[in-house]
Amino acid sequence: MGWSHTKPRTKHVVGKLALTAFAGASMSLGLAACEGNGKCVSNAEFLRTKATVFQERCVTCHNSSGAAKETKFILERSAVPGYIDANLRTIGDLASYYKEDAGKLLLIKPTQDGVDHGGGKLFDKKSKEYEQIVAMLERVDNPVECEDEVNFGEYFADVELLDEEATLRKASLALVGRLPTQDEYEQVRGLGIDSLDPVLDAMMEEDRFFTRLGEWYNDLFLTDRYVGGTEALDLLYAENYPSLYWFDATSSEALRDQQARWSNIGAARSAVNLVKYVVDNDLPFTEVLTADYMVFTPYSAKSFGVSIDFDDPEDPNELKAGKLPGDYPHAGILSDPIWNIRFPTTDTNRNRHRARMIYRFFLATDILRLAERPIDPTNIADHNPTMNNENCTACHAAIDPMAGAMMNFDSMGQYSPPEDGWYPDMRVPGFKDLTVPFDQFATAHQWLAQQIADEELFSVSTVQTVFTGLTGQAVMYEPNDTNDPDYTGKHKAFEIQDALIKDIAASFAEEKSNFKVVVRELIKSEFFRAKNARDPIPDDKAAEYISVGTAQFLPPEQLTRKIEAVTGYPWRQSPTSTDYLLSGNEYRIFFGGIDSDSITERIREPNGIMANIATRMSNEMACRTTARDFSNEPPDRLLFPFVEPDAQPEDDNGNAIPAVIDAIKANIQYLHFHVLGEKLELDDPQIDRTYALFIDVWKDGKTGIAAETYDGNLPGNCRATNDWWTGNPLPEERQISADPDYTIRAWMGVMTYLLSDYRFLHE
Amino acid sequence: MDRRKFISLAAFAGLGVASPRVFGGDPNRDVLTGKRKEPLFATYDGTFYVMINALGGWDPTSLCDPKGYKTPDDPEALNRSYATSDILSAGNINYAPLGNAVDEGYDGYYQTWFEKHYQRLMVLNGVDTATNGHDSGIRHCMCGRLAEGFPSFGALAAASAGKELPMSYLSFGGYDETMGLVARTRSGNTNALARIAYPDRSDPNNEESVFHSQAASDRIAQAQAERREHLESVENLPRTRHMIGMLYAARTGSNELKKLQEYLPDMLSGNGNERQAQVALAAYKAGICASVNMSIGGFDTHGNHDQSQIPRLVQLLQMIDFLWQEAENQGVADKMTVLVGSDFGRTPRYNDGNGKDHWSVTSMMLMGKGIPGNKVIGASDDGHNPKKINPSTFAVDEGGIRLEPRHVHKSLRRLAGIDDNEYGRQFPLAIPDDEDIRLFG
Repeated sequence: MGWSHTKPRTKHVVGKLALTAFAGASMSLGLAACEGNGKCVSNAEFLRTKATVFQERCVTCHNSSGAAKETKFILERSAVPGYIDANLRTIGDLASYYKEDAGKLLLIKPTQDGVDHGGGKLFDKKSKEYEQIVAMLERVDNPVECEDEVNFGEYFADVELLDEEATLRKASLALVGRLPTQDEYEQVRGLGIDSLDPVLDAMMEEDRFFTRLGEWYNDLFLTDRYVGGTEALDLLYAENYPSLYWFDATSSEALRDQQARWSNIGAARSAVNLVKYVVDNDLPFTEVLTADYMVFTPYSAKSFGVSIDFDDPEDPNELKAGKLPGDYPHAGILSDPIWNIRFPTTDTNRNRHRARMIYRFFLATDILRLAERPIDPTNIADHNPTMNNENCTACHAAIDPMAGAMMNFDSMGQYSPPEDGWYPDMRVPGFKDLTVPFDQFATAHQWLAQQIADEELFSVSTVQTVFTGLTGQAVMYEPNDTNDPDYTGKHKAFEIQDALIKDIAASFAEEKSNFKVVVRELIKSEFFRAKNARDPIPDDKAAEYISVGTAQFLPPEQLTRKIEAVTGYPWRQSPTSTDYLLSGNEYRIFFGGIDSDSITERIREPNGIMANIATRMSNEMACRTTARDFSNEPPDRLLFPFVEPDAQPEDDNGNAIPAVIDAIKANIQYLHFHVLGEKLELDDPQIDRTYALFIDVWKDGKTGIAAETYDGNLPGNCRATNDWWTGNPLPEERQISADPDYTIRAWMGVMTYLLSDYRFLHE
Repeated sequence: MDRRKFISLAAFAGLGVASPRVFGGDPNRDVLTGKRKEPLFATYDGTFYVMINALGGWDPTSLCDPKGYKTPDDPEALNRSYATSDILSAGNINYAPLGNAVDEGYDGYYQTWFEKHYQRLMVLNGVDTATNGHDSGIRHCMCGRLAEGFPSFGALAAASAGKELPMSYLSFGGYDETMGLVARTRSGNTNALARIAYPDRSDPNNEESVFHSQAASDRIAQAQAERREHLESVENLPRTRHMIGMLYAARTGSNELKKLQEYLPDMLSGNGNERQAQVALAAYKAGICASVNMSIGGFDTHGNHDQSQIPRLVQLLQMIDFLWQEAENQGVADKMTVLVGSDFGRTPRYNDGNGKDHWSVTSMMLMGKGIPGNKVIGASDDGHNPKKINPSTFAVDEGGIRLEPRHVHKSLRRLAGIDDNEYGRQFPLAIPDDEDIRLFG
């Protein structure tokens, strides 16, 4: 199997005797250790699905900001990742609290049985809620864990996985936007999935991987919003950075513009570049928060007035660590000025927006899901409702302390400790139940960074980011509608994915927060490698498998790279222009891309416009590359190494020429693998279909040329008369303008067919 | 697999739904002959639904639920920019006297706008969004549900009208979640549209400049259709089957994009808000679009409220006016229904930065086909708290109900005839009988 072979991926049963005791105690309620079908129900599952009184009643007051916040019985809401485990611990801790001659507090309080309860009497001893608490407490005394609760082997038993080579191809396109070399294929062929490790590690040294890594994190940080012109530099305080526009002194206008552009990009991408730097130098990934430095390019270093020795002072992509002037208290991304500007604050917002983003990016928590509870403005008559009113504290109890820990960054993202200290009408700066030590207020963000780095959810969030980057899928939220007829299946799907993520997060943490471990393990996992189900999935299993199989409609960046990897040419108007799919003036937005400004969410499924763009691409690239490839000698061809451009499968009398047919089919077989990743036998019906396409287009073409209804030459822009990259004319003997037998146009038809195929446009 | 079941699963997994094939059975095959039927695609000429998202939380008390100051030095004034005694009206609709004739900066625009549009305008005041969160607020406003999990009204309407349309649901921002019902389309630089509309031509303006002969194109299409059948016969994972269906469904109506070129103005406006209207209306006129999300931001005025919010409201009104003008030009004004809303409202007091913060009470505006004009339903008190109304008479009534986005969307769904169709039932709005308010009659 793919991942985490050093760590068991399933939990094992404990306490068969406990199951028996359980069954007797609460069989009448159906709240047994096993369901009626014999299926084991763990404590976690029981709390989630059976003892719902805790989420439906208790947590309303017994939460960190609720009416019972001063008590020891504090539960997490379901919107908080890991809430079940947290609540199990809390219930376990308090299960033994009791009042003499009365009973366990968790039972006597809600029934006000001999004791006062701040929330009053909620139910009586005969209620189902009471029985749920009884059963839960019994389970605390006799915990139930179920054998193979999350059994990957069983779950994926009928799922076909990509073999080593196919996985490598998919991974190569995902990480570095190219096809594997023959040497790389040989390093993994038949050697087991773990043989990919060194190959993947080598790929993660390539520049292209860091481009991809930057895209993953820009999808979160959206700091590419500022890469145009001098937008990033313009946001910084010139008085803090006197050499911000150092390039103004350059006399050559062209050079000055270039220096300005690179300085700006380096500044705009400083947060993303920190991620790249940490990964490139194999540093613990937690340094993206705890780094006591910032990352500069030779150009941005000049703008910030930071003196660093670069290996190549003219390389705009070289990254080095440095510190901002003035003893700047760095804390990785948290202290990055552009990152902070991207998530602005105001006098009333008070860093809450930043806190929300920190939770989202680094703690796998969407605070706004807590805000889905309705509020009533007429009930918010309290003074300072964010501190005192339940309607508000559900969210503010979590974000306000963190917002306070970011106190030192002003509305323009600049380090500027408030002269009057933090707002006295807000929660004390801190994180969870810890507060920033007063003597560390000036560096509260550094304190915060360390707290987050120590959190398990930091590891989880890292895995989630890479998961989405590799698959194009957002991670699932835990379903909570137990009345949904598909609840069980959906929950199973969630459990499997969640278990994978947590397991890889654990491996990541064990390997000193090694980011590359996450990438490798996800690539080797069943989720990345799932290719097909051996049989049709029955309806009652569909919910369980709805998220298996990546089937990602390639976003603009990845499709751009794949086009060039496969055809040898980029899809752009000229060698120096921007790729069509990456240009905001062309197809980027139409094709579901983002601009990091107002369009920040990708469209992951094709609409009519996107389908047409893909069709146009297949036509244009077939036109651009077919004759050009044929203009090379066979060993230098990427697309047609097995066939000559004028090879015709039949003679003038209509007799088949077997040798030519074999060569054509061999090349079609090659193209199916090269373009689509399909390994087919020569007699596969897919080969036959493509061959039939070739033959039919060719025959029609020959007839048309003979009847002079078709031109004997290629369309102008489909000819190979010059080197596309340099514009220089090709040697005359290599030039191809004519297509007297329509063979080249038949191959163009084949190329359009393959480049428009589902398997080319998806991974 | 049952179609309704698949929609539910697809939504859970974040997938769109376009092909009936994955559910089992093939509605595109003739039951008797088993032969594939031609794609059932027709251009759309039903109601055009326009949802204008004013992002950030607008201030209705500076627009259509006016509350001015009692005296210029009133410390409790909800608005410092005008007096209560100066509130204007157009028909039955009161509005803030901002941008009025005496205010040279705005050249009387509010008055111009309300006088021009009041007869087609319905204002809903005192709408309780029950949130101060941006995402949840705009979601609540545009789909009728506070929590996640519902498609926007635009997506629902587009799915019901024709999900096969190549630009069925066009979005320029705002809450545009589709929950997998329909493909969402974005528009980029419209100069590129010609090449997109004619993917088979090297030069979109030259019908002779084709990449392949017609025979070759037809043959390629045949091979693609056969390939699709093959893929659907061998791929068993639901996600894969779904994505195959999405790709081929997206191609079904892609030829119709050519019509868009016919209706786009020769010269698009340099104003981004106006361009949204031009592209959207051209797409609708071409019969390839059923609904559009338009968006305009800048309403989150936590500081310097009056100087920021009021000009923005003027821009919003200009945007709406341009939309109607363009609709008149395209001859489709009588087919358009417009909803204007925002995340929430603004606090009934200024903060220390002369700004206003989030306030869960807001207003919504509706115009156009099926909307009774010159009407105001709902109200708020002097503190901008919602007043209850009688759901039958709409009169203010302490024993009545609070107007919420779900009530609005229930009425909208009924107006669109989609409340009880398969998509409406998939995402039901729970309204108790005693709250069933029929806003549009």
